Amino acid sequence: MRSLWLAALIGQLAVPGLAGQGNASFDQRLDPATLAALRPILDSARADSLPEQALEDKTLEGVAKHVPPPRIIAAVRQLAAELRDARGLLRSATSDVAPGDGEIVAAADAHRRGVPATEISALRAHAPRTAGLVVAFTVLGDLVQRGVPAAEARIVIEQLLAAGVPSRQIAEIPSHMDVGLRVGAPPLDALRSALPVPVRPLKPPSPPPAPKPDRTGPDPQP
Amino acid sequence: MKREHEDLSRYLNGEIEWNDLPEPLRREAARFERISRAMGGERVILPPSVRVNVMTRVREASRSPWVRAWDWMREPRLSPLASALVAAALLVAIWLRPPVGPRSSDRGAPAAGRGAAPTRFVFLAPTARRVAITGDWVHWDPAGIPLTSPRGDGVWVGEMVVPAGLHHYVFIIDGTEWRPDPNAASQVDDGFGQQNSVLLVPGQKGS
Amino acid sequence: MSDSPTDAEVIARVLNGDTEAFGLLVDRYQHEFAGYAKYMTGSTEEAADIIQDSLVRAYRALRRCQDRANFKGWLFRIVSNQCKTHLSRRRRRPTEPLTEDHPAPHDLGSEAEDADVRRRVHEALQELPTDQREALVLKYVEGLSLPEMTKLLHASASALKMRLLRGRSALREKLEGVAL
Repeated sequence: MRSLWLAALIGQLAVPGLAGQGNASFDQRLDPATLAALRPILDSARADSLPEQALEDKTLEGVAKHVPPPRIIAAVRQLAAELRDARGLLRSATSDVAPGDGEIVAAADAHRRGVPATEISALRAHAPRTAGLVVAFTVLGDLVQRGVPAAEARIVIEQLLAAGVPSRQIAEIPSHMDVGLRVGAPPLDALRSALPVPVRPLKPPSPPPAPKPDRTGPDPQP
Repeated sequence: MKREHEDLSRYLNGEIEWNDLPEPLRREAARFERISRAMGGERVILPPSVRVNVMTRVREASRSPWVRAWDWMREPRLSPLASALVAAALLVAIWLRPPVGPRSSDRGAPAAGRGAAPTRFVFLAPTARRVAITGDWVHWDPAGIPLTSPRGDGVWVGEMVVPAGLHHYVFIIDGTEWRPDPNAASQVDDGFGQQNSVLLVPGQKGS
Repeated sequence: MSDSPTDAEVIARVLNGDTEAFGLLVDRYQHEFAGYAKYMTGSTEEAADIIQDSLVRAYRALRRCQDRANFKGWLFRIVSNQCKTHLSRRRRRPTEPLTEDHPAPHDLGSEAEDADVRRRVHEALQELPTDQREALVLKYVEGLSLPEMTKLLHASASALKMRLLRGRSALREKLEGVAL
C-alpha cells in the first residue's frame, strides 16, 4: 500500500503535467500529410468548442495502433460528428446548463454503445441540474450493453441521482450486476439486485393480477 | 422422543459408511438424508450492498492517511537510493505541475469532476514477455506503462493513478499485440475495427 | 483475472495499511458464511446484517487474529457469536416464515411438494435451540466433518455428537407426518 500511496501522491501532482506533455507532442507524432488532412477537422472542432482533446487522442490512438492514415482521418471525422450530435442533444435537453466536455464525450460514447438519443437527452433533462453526468452516461451505456432496456436503465439512474447516491456507487453497479448475470439472472433482475438503494419498481416482475370482479373504478396508473 | 439407534447416529455423524449401516436402519437413514437435503440445496448470495457497506465502514475505521504517512516515515522500507529517487520524483512532479488555472485536461475527454484515483490493473498473459497498458489518459503512448509479473506466473499487475473520468484503454503484449481487458466493465468499438476497454474513474463531484 | 494471495498474505497487506485489500477477504467469505447465517436466523436480510457486522468486527480486530492461516475459522467464530447475539436479542420474537424469503433460486426439485418439504424443514429448524441448529447447519448444510466442527466451535466431539443427536431427534419429531 505504501507504494500505492506514494504513487497516488506523485500522481496527483504529476497527472496534469503529463497531460500537458501529451498535447505538446501531438504534431510530432503525426506525419505531415495526415496532420494536414486532420487540421480542418480539428480547427472546426475548436471553433465549435467541441472536446478537441478527444479528437487528438483518437488520432494518437490510431497512430499507436498503426492504423492507415485514411482510416484515422475517417475515424476522427466520425468522432467529431458524434460529439457534435451529443452536444446538440444535451443542449436541446436543457438550455440553462452548458454541457461539460467530459459529459459530451460520455454521451457520445453511450450513444455508440447503443443508448438511443432520446434516452440521452431525457437523462440530461430529468437529472438534477447540478449533477455532472459523466458517470451517469457511462453507466447508462454499460447497462444497455448488459441487456437492460434503455428507458428502464435511464429511469434507474435518474432515481439514483435524485436520491443523492454517490457517483462511486453508481459506477460500481455494472460490475455488481455481472454477479447476477453470471448466475443466469435476467438483466432487469440482475440490475435490481445490484442497486445500492432500492428504486421504484420499473416493470412488475410478473404480470399484474387480474382485477377482482367486485372492484369498481379504473386501476390507478403506476 | 424416540431414541436414535447408535449405528444410525454414527452413520449420520459421518463416522461409518452406508455399507456399514445395518439394513433395518437404512430406511430411517434415508429419511433423515431427505430432511438434510431439504435443509441445503440453496446457495445464499448476499446483495452487493453488503460488500459496499463493509468496505465503507472499514475505510472509516482505518486510520487517517496522515497517521499512515507518519508510520511510513518512521519506518521507511526503501533503500537510501530508492528514497533519493522518490524524493527526486516528487520534486520533478512538483516542477512539472502547471500553475493554478485551466489545465489541458480540463478541455479533454477524460475530465470528469476533479481528482484522480490509484487504479489497479490485472491481466493474464502466461506466455508474454512484456505487458504494458496504454489509453487516452497517457494519450495512447505507444510504449505504454509497463505492468509487472511479480511471481513470473503470467499474472501481470500494474497500479497507477488515473485521472477521474471516462477512459478507453488496451493492453500491449510484447510490444505488438493489442488486447482489451477482459475484466473491464465494458468494451467499446474503437472506430478502427477493434475493441477498447472502458474505465470509469468517478470524480469528486457527482460527475 | 486476479492473483490469489493467501489469507495470511492479505492480512499482512491490510495491517500494513492497504485497507482495500480487505475487500479480498470480504469477497472470499461473505457468501461462504451467508448460508450458515441465514439458516441460523431464518432470513437473508438478517444474515446480510450479521455478515456485514462480522466482517467489520473482523477488520477492527485483525491484529488479534493469531493464526492468520486459519482466518476462516477465526471469522467463523465471529459470525457464529454475532448470530447468537442476534438470536438472543430477538429471543421471544416470533420467527418469520421463511417462505417469502426462501424461493430458492436453484430449487433442487422444482415441484410444489419439494418446496413444501423445504419450507417445513426450515420452519422446524428455526424452532430448535441455537446450539442444536448450529450443529445441524454446519454438519448438513455446510458439510463439515466432526473434527472440523470441533475446531470451529471449540467444543468436544462428544458434546457435538450430543447436539446433533438431539437436533435430529427434535427435527424428526417436528416433521412427523410430513411425507418425505
